Amino acid sequence: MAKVHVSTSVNGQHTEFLCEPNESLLDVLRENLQLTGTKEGCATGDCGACSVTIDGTLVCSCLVLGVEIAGKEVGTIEGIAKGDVLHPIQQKFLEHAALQCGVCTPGLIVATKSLLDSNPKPTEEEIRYYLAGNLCRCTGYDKIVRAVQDAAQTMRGKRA
Amino acid sequence: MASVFFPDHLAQYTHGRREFDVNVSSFRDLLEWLEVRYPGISEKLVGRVAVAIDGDIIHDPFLETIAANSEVHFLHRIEGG
Amino acid sequence: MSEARQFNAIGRRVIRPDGVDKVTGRAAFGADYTLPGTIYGKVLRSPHAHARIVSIDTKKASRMPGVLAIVTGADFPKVGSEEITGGEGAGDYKDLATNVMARDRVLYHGHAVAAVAATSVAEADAALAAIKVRYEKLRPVMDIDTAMADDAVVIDEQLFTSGLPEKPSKPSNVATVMELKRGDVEAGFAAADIVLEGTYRTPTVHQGYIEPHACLATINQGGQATVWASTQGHFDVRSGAAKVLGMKVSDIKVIPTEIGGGFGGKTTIYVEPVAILLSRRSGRPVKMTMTREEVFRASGPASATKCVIKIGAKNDGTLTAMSAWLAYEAGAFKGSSMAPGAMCVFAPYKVDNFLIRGFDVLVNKPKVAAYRAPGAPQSMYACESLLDELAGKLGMDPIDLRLKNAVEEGCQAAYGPKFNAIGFRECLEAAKRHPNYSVPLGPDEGRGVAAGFWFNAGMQSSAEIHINEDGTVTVIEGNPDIGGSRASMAMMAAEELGVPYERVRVQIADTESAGYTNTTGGSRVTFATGMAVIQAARDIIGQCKQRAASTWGIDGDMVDWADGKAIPKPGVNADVKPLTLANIASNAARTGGPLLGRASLNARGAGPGFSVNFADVRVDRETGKLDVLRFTAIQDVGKAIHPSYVEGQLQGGAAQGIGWALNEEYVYNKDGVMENAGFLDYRIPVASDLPMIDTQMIEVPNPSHPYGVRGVGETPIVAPLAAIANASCAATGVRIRDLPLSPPRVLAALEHAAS
Repeated sequence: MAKVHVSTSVNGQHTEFLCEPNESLLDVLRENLQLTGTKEGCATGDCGACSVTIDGTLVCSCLVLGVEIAGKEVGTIEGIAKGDVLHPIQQKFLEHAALQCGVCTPGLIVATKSLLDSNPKPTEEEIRYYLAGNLCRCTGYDKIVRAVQDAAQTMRGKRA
Repeated sequence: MASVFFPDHLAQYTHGRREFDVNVSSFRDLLEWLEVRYPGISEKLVGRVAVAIDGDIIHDPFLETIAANSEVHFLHRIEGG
Repeated sequence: MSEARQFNAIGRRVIRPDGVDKVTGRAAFGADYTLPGTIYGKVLRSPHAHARIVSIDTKKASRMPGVLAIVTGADFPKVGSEEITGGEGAGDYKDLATNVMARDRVLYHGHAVAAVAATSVAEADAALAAIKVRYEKLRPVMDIDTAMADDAVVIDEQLFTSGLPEKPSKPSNVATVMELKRGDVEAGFAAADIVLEGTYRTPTVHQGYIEPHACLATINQGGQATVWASTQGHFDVRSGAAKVLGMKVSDIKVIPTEIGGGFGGKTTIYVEPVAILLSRRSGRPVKMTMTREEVFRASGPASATKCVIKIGAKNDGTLTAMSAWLAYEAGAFKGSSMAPGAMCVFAPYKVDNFLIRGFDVLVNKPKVAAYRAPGAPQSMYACESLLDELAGKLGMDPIDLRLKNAVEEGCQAAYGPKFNAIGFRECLEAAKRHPNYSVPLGPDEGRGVAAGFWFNAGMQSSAEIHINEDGTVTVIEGNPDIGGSRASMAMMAAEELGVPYERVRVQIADTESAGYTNTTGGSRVTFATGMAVIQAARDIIGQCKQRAASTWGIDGDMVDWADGKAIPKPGVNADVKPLTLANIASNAARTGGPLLGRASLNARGAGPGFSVNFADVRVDRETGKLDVLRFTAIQDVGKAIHPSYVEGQLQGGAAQGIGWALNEEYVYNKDGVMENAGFLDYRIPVASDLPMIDTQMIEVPNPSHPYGVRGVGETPIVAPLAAIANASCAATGVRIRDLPLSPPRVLAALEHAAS
């Protein structure tokens, strides 16, 4: 089967690539575009390590085809920091030791940003349910939730 | 005299005897002492067991000193995960 | 010796040095590496749990587009039987090699049979489908009772049970038996006022690391290989691959990538030797990653077990006798964690009479690998559950029952030696005083207590310290960082040298650049590698004092080191300014050459870690679902170098233990095929399953470490299993002894009790 030419925008940058029609967005990001920050944990949409946003909606990139993002805006972990300035979510994850091995961290940060963009003052329960699709095996989620709560407060302060 | 203890699965090399009182000052000397009485035993022990000397567990002991009233226990090697 | 002192760097919650790369996605894990010309390796796996391989035909596959190499078991050298001098697995290199690629038989569903390297994953998969394998199916043996039966199908006709007084005449699925005993159990039970017995079963579970196994291997025409591998122990990858492939150790360089979780499951090799061989055959770098399904089916889960515990006690709670019959599934090859399980089961308790019998049992499942305190969760789950039943029958608080019998310094451990300084009593007392222990409970809610224990390992570590010309410090060590150890190493070097943490950089070096170092596991890195880093720092300090002495024209023993500077000793009459590391380093050429400090050691004196956990759960009687309302983990951590990362170990281990208790299990069909090989149905705890996990760190310093460090990483997974099970019993009124306590099982037990 012939490869498909896709024109899209990734982290605000115009991007073009060729991919097979049956290639996942996850594989496109990692292989074609060399954006390896997004991780494969399961390739079946169960772990969230491959979380990205498409037009602002949080998705598992392993469940999206590369060809589906034509004309859309994709947000990955690489777009969260601005140059050498970390996003408050990233800073709080570091301060709260909300990561150990770090492999689930990109997906969690993308998901957290998606949460706080839509719900700036989430309760603990709302945080836990929103992030239920991002598996972490190292931390037990305690410090992650605290980092998200602290990030939310900081981001509300910045907006005010 | 140092007290030396073998658990059951290693006592098969000492004809079932599990406790010894030995006058040695190093683990190397202990191995020699055992080898004289149970030829071939060093090969079963060196590199294959762990030893606790006065409560401190060591993998692959050899040069460790054994004091006059030390307790030496032979153990399974445990690496963990 | 541990010194009671004020620390400058130790005990602070600094930002870890690899943190920024991990929150920005820059950190490179196993699957993130590519070289120019990289091709992709994929493995063909057995569709049967037990079968003879009759023939393998790769002709058609080898002609398919993009295929550059195909290998089967026949392409690997024959590996003789040789014990792997590692740990408790009592593994054999021959078994390791056969597990990497099957030879004449397949021993579990998913066992590797052949491998292909092709220019794309899709082409490799297509080629796999074209490989024709003929099998003669054999009856699979899938559980302990079947495997140990007199008429059992024997998986390995050459395996005769070891550990018996005489070699048996018939082969068996029981690879090893082991016995530990003290006193006279029969007399002990006879002297008891109450005797209880229980049979407990735990299922096959997986470590559940989020990053699947991954490596990139390249070998040149001269036979020198370089492998990037996600691993806990790159020196073990090197030695294992060398044995499996018949290569010299010096011809394999292993570069550890960042590792996305291991928990013991990444202390062995699976795809690495296959990738090297495919690279040799194809002349290209070969990248191999496991899919999540392959991780479940074909890496190394933790043993399923059957544990029978019997306890005798006086009415006041004093234990008079304890016995344990412990059968552990090893999977397809011998070497389960039965031995440590047997050594741990009664470790927290003083008892004059005990008998422990352990059995290492083959079944047609993947070869088990280590999983955080291997063996202890299963056997201690059983004992801690029965102790809870005893407390109930005696009307005693479960903590008081344990206080009555708790080991302390000077007591003989059940596994032999006397304990040095330990903190079990302190944890019990802290649990009793903890505010969570007096939170009132509502209807359908229950609280459960359990104790945990792990030996913690020492073993070999190497460290080098370089002082750079601007006085900054580079620490070279060889332990992949799975929990924040780079930060701890930097803090210990900073503390010892007397310089700010921010001026220390830690490198995790490859097998050619770091001195030999045992695996990251066994709760040993902060303890043993930390000791090596401290010793290397002391080596540097010694050298710096000499350099300062030369610079000042005085004797070396007239120089002190304080706050990162060389100064003359008090009373020495020398009109000189203190010399910092930067001063000494920038002058190093004139005083003897570059400043290089080193240490290598075989660490002794790893301090055991005790814990006490308690959990509150609530049962939904309509669905059988158990919710964890509160979880408190109290542990003797020796000395917390970085408190946040120590808390992280307690919380992470608790979450794994909770998952083991509540939901995780391999579900097999009658053909020995795992039915839930994915994260949807192999249900590990998610964020909405857990409450905040409250931790309390007790610090009883380990006298054998300069800062009192005790390993902390493994103990946390042990106690949660029984804490949850005991809480469930309190909430439901029904004792369920087989894990997991998943909703259908709880519901069935509730309905059975009601009828």
